[in-house]
Amino acid sequence: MTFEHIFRLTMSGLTVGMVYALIALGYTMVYGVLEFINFAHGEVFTIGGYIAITTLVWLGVDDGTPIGTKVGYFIIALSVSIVLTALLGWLIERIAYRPLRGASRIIPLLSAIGVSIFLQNAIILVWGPEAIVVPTSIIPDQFVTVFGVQIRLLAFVIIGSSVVLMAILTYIIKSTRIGKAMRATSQDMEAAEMMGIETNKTIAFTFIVGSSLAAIGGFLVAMYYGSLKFDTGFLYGLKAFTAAVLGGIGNIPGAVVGSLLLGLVENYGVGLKLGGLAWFFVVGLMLGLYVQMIRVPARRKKHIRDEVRTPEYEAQVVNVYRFPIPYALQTALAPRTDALLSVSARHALRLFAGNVFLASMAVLFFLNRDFQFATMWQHAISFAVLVLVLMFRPAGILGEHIEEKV
Amino acid sequence: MQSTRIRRILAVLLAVAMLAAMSSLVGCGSSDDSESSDGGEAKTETIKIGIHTSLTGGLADYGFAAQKGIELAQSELDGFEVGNTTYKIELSLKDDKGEPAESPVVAQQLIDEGVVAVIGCLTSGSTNAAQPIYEQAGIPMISGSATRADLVPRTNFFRTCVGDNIQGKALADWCVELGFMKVAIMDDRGDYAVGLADVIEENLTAAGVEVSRESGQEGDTDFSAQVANIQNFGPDAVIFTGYHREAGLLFKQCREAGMTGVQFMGGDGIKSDEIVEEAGGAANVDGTLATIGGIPQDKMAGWDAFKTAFVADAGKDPGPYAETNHDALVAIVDAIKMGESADPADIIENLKKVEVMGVIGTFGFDENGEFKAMGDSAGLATIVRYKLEGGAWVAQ
Repeated sequence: MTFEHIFRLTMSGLTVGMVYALIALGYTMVYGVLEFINFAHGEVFTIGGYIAITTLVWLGVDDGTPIGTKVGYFIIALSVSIVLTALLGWLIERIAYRPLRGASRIIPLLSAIGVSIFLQNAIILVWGPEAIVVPTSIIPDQFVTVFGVQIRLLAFVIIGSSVVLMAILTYIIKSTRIGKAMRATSQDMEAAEMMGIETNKTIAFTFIVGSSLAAIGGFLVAMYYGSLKFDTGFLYGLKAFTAAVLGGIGNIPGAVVGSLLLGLVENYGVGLKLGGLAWFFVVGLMLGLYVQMIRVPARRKKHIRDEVRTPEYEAQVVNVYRFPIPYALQTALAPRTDALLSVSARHALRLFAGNVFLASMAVLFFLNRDFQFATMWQHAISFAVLVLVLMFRPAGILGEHIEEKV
Repeated sequence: MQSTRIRRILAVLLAVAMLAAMSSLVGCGSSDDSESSDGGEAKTETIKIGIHTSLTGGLADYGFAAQKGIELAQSELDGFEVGNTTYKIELSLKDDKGEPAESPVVAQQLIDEGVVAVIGCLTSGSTNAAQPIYEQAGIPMISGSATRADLVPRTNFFRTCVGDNIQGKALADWCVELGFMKVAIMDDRGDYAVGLADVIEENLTAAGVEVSRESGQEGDTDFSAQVANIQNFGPDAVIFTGYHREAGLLFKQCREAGMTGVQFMGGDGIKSDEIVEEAGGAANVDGTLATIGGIPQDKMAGWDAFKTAFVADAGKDPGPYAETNHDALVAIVDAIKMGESADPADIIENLKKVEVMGVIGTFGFDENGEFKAMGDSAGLATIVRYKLEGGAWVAQ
């Protein structure tokens, strides 16, 4: 296992993860505002890519085009794609979701699945069932060599532009009028309406922003891989949705963290031997021990009511966490006399069980350090990680920000 | 009141419709019997033959070649006579999109239409999924392109192409000939690809070549993890056993990751002209090697005439497996002539005995349903090697 190998996996994980993030943001924003999952988002992404490719081909870019003109054409194609795709996002909301607002939550969900099927077939009708291939002459194919690893410049473009877009998005939501309206709508739609916020316009704006991001994602994917198929968006949509849930759906930084984690897991999971993967459990174990031994006891001590606060009692609370087997077990099994202690005891045992799990996984992985998962298991591993994370944190890594949803 | 009346009318209508459907089915079945039972005078019978292929989806080019090949055979053979019966051939063309999940539905449709034999399926995965359904209905199937090794023996399956146990060995032998010591084999997790990859791995390991296996998902776009693993393994050759779209993407991503001087190889699934475009230009895939089962085209008995007719009809050169699909229909007709019966069970029995003179030469089927070159063609090679040169496949 060389450094180059790990670096290569990291770079491809980041690239893929950033593409997931661009799509996941659309899912998570809509969920944040409307609490429903827009399953048609993957197709919006595909259509964005198709429109960009078609525009580029129509403009007639080729090898001979001077670099300045070429960049201009790219910007034109991207703009056309963003405008049309944003329009599509707006239309979907207007036609398929707005009439159903206020209905039971399952109904717009079904409508979304319907829209997804409709859009896939629309792509087949317009562009045909075969993959659309980006003419080679269009694709920028510069390389850079970092640490002896050849990486396409486009990978950096994808990572860089995603970071910039996310910064812009954060700015819009945190510091502009419309962002404020989005936050208000997500907290309580009725109350926001009573305060004079036009919720319909705000929701439409959410869809437009999400679709524009998807269009950029589609453009970047088309340029990076050179082809798109009518069902490409389905898999990407699924992955991005997974990433959004992994990070905590409705939570914007969560979508980015979840996407990067998913991208990296997909690559590390099948690219590293178990001996390499074990280090992730070691890091996890260290974090877990820090939480169990230091962070939580310190917080718990603050919960002690002043009339019972004695040094002995404080030591007892700390010991329940530090030595969970004798102390916590004793407290948990004893008749319930002290609420704080018995809650802490059960909490400590849970944390301890988590740490034991991490430690045993690390040992198991180190013992089989030369084993490597076949790439066949790529998607299964991602799913296993998702289930693991959600088992310990049902709301996702960063949690569903109920009060700051968008 | 109103609603119960409507319901009653609907029930009556439904019953009538069902009766009509049943009687028409019965009618279909019986008309053949009554016609064939009375001998003596000349009569005309129409036989329906199903084409179970993939006209849309990633393998549409293979499906198109198959369709045109079979239609050519139909125009040559239509109205053939056995005894004093003239048979008219009617083709029923069905599309399974190359997806095993769709295949059983298509099979059932063809059976319901009352076909006496089926040409297909196009892919091994589809064949695997549809074969039990045809078997239950007693319908023979002849595929011109489903090459997976374990598709034979089955009671009703025959093929006019060469199986992957032979193709896999040929690919492995080619690697050994070229002196490769480390080979990475990647499949797309489909029936055909995994089967072929297993055969290649077995043969390479037996020859002392170090092998690493990777898998991608058919329909995936990103193979970066697989490419990183392959690069870490540092092979002399990368063999992709799936189809050309994923092959193109994989080879492109290998090149982009800086793998130069690595030989790309594949089976019949990648031997399509579309791979060049899918790989982002000839520069990425030039020099790629592929094998395809069968007799070399220049040694095929009827190749030149077939090619001329195909170009005249379709406007382009015959795609992969056009000729084997053409000959599948020839074989069915020969089996009908031999047994003087268009009954599916008789066709199955007679297919095991026929000696067909087709475009690819003289051939028959062995007891397992596997392609067997016979007569003048018996000695000819059964695996052809191709190399991609300047964006076109050239036979080696």
